[in-house]
Amino acid sequence: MARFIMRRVALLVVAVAAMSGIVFVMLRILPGDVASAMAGVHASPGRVGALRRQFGLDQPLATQYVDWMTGLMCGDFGLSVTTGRSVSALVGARASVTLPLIAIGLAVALAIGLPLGCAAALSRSPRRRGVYQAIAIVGGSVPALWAGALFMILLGRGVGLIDLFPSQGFGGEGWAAPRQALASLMLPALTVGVIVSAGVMRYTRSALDDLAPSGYIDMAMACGMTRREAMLSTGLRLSAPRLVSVLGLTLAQMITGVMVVENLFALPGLGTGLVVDVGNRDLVAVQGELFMLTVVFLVIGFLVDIMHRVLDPRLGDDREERR
Amino acid sequence: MSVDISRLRVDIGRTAVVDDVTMHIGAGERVGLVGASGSGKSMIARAMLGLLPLDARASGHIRYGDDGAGDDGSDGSGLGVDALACGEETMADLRGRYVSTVFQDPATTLSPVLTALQQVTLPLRRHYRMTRGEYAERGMATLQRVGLDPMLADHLPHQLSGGQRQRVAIATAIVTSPRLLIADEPTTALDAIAQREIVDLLVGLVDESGAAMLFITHDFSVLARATRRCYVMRSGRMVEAGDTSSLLGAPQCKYTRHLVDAAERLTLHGAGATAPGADRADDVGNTRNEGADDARN
Amino acid sequence: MNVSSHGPNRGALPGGGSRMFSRLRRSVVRMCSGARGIFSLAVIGCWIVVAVVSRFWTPQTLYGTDGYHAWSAPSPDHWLGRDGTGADMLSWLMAGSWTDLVIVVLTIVLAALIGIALIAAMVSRARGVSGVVTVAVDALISIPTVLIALVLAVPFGASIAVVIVACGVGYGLNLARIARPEAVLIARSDFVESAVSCGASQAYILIRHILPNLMSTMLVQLSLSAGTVVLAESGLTYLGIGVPSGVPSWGRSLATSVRFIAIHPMTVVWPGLVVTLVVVALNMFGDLLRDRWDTGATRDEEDES
Repeated sequence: MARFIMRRVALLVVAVAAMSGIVFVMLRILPGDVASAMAGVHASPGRVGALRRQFGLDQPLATQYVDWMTGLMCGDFGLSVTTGRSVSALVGARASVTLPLIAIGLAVALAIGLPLGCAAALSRSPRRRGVYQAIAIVGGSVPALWAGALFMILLGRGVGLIDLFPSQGFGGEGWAAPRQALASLMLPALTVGVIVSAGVMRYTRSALDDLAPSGYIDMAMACGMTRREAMLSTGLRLSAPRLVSVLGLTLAQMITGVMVVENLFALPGLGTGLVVDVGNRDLVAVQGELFMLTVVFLVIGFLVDIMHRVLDPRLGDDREERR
Repeated sequence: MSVDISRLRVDIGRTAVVDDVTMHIGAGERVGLVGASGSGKSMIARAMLGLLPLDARASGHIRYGDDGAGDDGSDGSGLGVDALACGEETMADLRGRYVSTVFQDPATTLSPVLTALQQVTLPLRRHYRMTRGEYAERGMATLQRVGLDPMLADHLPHQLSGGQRQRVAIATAIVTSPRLLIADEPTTALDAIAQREIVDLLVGLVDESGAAMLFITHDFSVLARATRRCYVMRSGRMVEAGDTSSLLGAPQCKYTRHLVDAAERLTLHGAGATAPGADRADDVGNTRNEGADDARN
Repeated sequence: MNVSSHGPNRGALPGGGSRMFSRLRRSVVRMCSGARGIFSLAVIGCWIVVAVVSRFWTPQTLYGTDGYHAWSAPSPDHWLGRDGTGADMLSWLMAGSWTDLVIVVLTIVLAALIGIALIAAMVSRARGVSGVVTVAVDALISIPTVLIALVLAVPFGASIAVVIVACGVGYGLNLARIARPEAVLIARSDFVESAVSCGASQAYILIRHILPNLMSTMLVQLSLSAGTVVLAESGLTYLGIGVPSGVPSWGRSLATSVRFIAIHPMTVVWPGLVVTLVVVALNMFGDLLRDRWDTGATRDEEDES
């Protein structure tokens, strides 16, 4: 186990370094001069030159990269081109909206998807299985934008049929007013959760379906469980490693939905910020935010791999085959 | 506890994997059920336990009862139950308490996330209320009875050898002192020496507790050690029944002779050092059309 | 008791490219017998027909703006009402179906090309190449497509190409990762070994042996990706890094009507319904293909947009 973690940490470090390089190079090598892009279409050559000097774009690429990396090491992401504020502070403030949104959304997805997946796997009549399959397919086919809009029409304050939750913004005080902040996260989290739950449901069902005819279920039943109990205890426990793995990937893919939903509900999160900064061609901010997000996902991948190991003791001992 | 099976028929899809089988296991009796792979013997065990696959349909009767010989089977529970007619809850209550089973391959049945001790105490935890200490105590005692080193109690299945795993499985089956033990090819996944040890262990444990045993195998050489009376199955039908020794000595039916010959040849050629399936395939052909049973064995 | 498992090497026979297509045709024909199959094929068929028709004819001109009747309710002339510029909603949705069709087809082609290139590298006999590519795919797979799109959008701005390249790269990586175990098994199989010993080149083995046997896994995976492309298009367009404004697409229609949801809540229903219907049909088609062929393809990647 220790050896596996060491190796996986090494891979994580290499991947983070590689991704920093990729983000950096992509943003610079791609056609179009960054400084003139930042300055806008109508800027004078003098303004472009000044910008170039200000952000060190006249330096060789390697020097720029080293400068950026040394900054990153100290938690300094540079200063935003448009606002002049520290990018690290900006990223921190935005993450305090996005991470809770993801967490609540995931909780909603599990709360809906797991029971439905279990019910689908336990139902025996083909007709009922068909209904569950239809739910999973339709649920996975709704655009996040539309789902969010429908929730807004249904439950949004001021807009919806039922005045339940605020549908725009995050409240002026942020987390200083936790009730308000949480309330404004409810609709977005519900949207994200419902969209992701279809995937969770499908994975749960197929994992349980694969285990259903196995000897492990027979054994649990032979010890005195009904099929239902055996599937819900032994079956879920044994499919946990697989579910965690897929959940990690689902989480990575959830981000498009999260960004759309943040925009729709006007939440000042990482997604909204990133879109605004891309629109403003704020190179420094985009660079910092993209790097942060990729790191978040690489770390999620890392944690998922470790959890997979922990949950499946057969992998933990001596063999080092996976990854 | 005794079992009366009458006119049992199990269909999977359009094939009858068990057809018109009638058999009796008396209280405290050790009975064998022998036949080639795919002859439907496992399906009988599954029907008795209520573990038939979801796509199987069963008809007939499997009655659990007490024919007076049992010494402490008088508490009434689990008696008079018909395995094919009662609800799932009743069968679940019966399994692991009065009727328990040892499967063929412990590697694919023992939960890979439970330690030996956790596995053994599982039926206890399902059926009896005790303190945590009592569970552990009973579990450790049972592990000791099946001859497993106490040091191995906190090991997971993949850390144990095949024979050790099967001992854990047997301990799980006997921990609640069941009245009937169904051993479904418990030795097939083991090497020759472990096979003999496991059979002797099972026989010893069953006789000690006065429980009945149904011993399912395709191997007559194992059967002679474990049972006095046996039934022979072929293609889902019962073809012969009688004393194990007399069947071994003078098999009536041609098919039984095949099985006996195969067993003798295995015993002569180094006590089953060859894979049990190697010779069998030639001697007992034509049962392969019943893939349904094979797939689940 | 063994779990009956479906080994990924089933059907690993030499050759068989043309057999693959007759199999595909047979599967599609057989799908027509089930309700789900008829539904998905009908919706996909309608989509293609409407897309082609919209190249020549739409009920109203696309840019026939009319500020006086912006957001007007459905009427005989404008079946689904008008959008914020007074243009006909139905015409825009029809024209959008062409854009989305082009995006889906090109993305799938790009994903297939990238996937095949990566698979070729991963089963390559040069150990260094296969090792590096395998690790790289594993690491990159956790990077969401939207981030790739954002990086591309900084220099290029919103464009259809951004959607195609971002999704193509993302799904190509995914395809390579899902097909890898099967590809490796085939590459190590006896008939490939014997072909190698007879002096067959790597390219020959890839084209003659490996790709034909991967065809079903790849087709299933790609058809499942098609639905997510449509979803990704609407998401990226809404974020302002997908289809540029002025170009008709479903995502564009959805995005413009969502912006005015507070004032005209009902207009958001139609574009969303169209997207959902088509994605359901595409996903159902992929699911049916997978059920028929029972491949190892899984829906590991699900772009929520």
